[in-house]
Amino acid sequence: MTTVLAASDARTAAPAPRRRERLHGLLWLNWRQNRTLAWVLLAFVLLVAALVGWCVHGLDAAAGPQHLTRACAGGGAPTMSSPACGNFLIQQEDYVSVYQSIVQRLLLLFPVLIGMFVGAPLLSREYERRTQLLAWGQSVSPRRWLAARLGCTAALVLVAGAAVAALSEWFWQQYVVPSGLDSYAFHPTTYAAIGAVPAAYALYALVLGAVVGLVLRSAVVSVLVTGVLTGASTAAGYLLRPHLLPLTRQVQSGVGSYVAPANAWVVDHGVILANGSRVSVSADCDSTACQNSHTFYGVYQPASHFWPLQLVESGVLLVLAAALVGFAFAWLRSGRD
Amino acid sequence: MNSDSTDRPAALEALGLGKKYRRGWALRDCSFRVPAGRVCGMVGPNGAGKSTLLALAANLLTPSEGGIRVLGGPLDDPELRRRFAFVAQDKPLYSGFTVAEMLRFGRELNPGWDEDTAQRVVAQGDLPADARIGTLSGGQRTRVALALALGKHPELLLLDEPMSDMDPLARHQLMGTLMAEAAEHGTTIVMSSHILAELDGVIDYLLLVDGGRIRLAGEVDEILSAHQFLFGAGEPADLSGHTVVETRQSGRQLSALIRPQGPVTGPWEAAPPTLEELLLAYLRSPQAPSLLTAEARTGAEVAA
Repeated sequence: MTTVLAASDARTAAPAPRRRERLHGLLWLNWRQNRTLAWVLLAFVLLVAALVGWCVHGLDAAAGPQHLTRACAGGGAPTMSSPACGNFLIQQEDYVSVYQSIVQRLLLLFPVLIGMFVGAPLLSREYERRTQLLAWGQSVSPRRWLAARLGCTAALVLVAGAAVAALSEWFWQQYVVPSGLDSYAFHPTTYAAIGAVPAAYALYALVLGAVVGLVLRSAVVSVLVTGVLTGASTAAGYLLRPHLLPLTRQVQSGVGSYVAPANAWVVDHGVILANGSRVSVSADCDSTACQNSHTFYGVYQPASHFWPLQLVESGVLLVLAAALVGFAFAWLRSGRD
Repeated sequence: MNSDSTDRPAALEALGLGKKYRRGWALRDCSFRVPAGRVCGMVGPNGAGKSTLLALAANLLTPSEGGIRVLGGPLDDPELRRRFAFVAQDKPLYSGFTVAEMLRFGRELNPGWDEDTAQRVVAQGDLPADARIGTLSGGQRTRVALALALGKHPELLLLDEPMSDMDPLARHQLMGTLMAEAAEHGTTIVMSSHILAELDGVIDYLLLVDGGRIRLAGEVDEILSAHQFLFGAGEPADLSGHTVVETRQSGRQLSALIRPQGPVTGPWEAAPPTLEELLLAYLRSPQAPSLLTAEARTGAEVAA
C-alpha cells in the first residue's frame, strides 16, 4: 500500500511528460551533452550566413537594376570613367574585402576553435569530473560510449562545417571570381575557406583534440596542446599542399622573367643558364650569364588542380582522423586505469 | 540457507587478485568470496586498497595479477554490465543536468530500468525534479547517485564510501532507504567505509582490507564468535595455546583479543568482542594472522 502511494507521489513529481521524448539511449545522452554546442554551431552558421547575406545584399543594391556587374567589369578602362561604374567598383571592392577579411578568416579559424574548445574538452572534462565512470556504470560499454561521444559530436561539427563552407564557396564563385578582384583560389585563406577542406579539417581537429584530452585528462592543458597541434597542422598542410599531386614543370623563353599560367600556384621559378643549370629566383642572379639568359622555368600546380588537391587533402585529413579514432579505442582498451 | 548460498554463484569471488600502480602494489594476493544476498561491509583505513578492490570488481580497472569473478561471470561478459551497479566515491554526475534528466539518463542507458524505485529514492529526499545537480548538496548528490544505482535494478550493488559526505541524519535516512530497497529485491551490497559506525548493525558480512590484503572475511556473527576478549591479571604466556590477535598491558591488567583454540584457562574474565573492538585490534596488530570463514574461502583454497 505504501509502495503504491509513494509511486504515485513520485509520478506527480516527474515534470517532463514522456511523449516528447524522441531520442533514446546514447543518442539522447549525447544530444543532451552537446545541446549547447549545437546552439553555438547554429549561431556560427547564422553569423556566416548573415555576413554573406549582407555582402550579397550590398552588392546587388550597388549593381542596381542595370546589373552593373557585367557592364563595368567587362568594359575595362572606359567604363571606369562612368560615375555609376566607379561607385559600383568601389563598393564591390569593399564587400569583397569584407568577405576576405572576415568570412574567410572565420572559416580559417573554425577548425582550430573546434579542436581547442570542442575536441579538447570532449573527453578530458569527462575524465576530470569522472563522469566517464558514471556512463560506464550504466549498461553501456566504454567502447560504445566513446563511439557515441565521438560520432555525435563529429556529426554536428561536420554539418556546421559543410554549411559554412558551402556559403563561403557560393559567395566566392558567384561574386568574388566574377568581380575580377580575386580569383586565386590557392591563397592559403581562400583555400581553407571553400570546398571540402574546411569540414574535413574541422573533423580532424575535433578528433585530434579529443585524443589529446583522452591522453592528458586535463581540460586546460588539452586546450593549449590542441591549439599548438592544430596550428602546426595548418602550417604543415600549407607546406605540403602543393606536393600532394605531381607538379607541372614548364620551360619558356622570353624577356624579363617567368610568366605563370593564370591562378597557378607557383612553387618555384627562375632562370636556366646556357650550361643547363637552374637558378631559382630565391637565389642570387648576379652573374652576366644569369642576367642575360632568356630561358625560364616554372614549377607549379595549375588552377585546374584546385579540386583534386582539395579532395586529396581532405582524404588525408580523414585518414588521419580515422587513425586517431582507432588510437582512441586502443587507448581506452589498454589504459583504463 | 547454506545450500542456497553455495548453489547460487558468489556475488564476488577473487582469486590471487592484485593491482599494481606505478607507486607500488595497492592490492596483493587477495582471495575471498562474498556469497549472493549479503550486505557486506568492506572496512579498512584510508589507502588500504578498498577503492581499488571495488573498481576491479566494477571492471573499471584491470587486475595486475589473479582475477575476480562477479555474479559468476567473467568480467568481459557484456551482459554482466547490466547486472551490477557501481557508485564511485565522489559520486560523479553530470552537473549541468537536472535531477529529472539524471533519472532519464538512467532510464535511457539501462534496459532493466525500474523507474518507480528510482523515483521513490529521489522523492524521499525531497529533491525537486528540476534542480540542477550542480546546485545540490553532497548528501543530495549521493541520493541521486543511489537512485541511479538502485533504478538499474542490479543484482550486486558496489558502493565506495557511499555515505562519506553526509550528516548523520541524512546518512541514517539514506541507509534506511538503501537497506529497504536491497531487502525488497534481494540485492547483494558490497560497500566500503572507514567509518565503522556507518556499518554497525547494517552489515551481515565483513571484509577487512588492510595494507592491500584481506585480513578478515566472512559472516559478522561467525567472525565475532570466533574471537574472545579477555581481561585479567594474567601473563601473555598463559595464552600460548590460542591465536593471539592483540595484547595490551595497562598496569597489572592484561587485555587480549584471542581466537580460542580450546577452553580458555587462567585468571581471565571473558567477553565477546564488539565489532569495533575486533576491527581496531586487527588494525593495531598488522602481524595478526588473517581469518576467512568457510563461506569466504574460495573454491581453490578449500580444495587445497
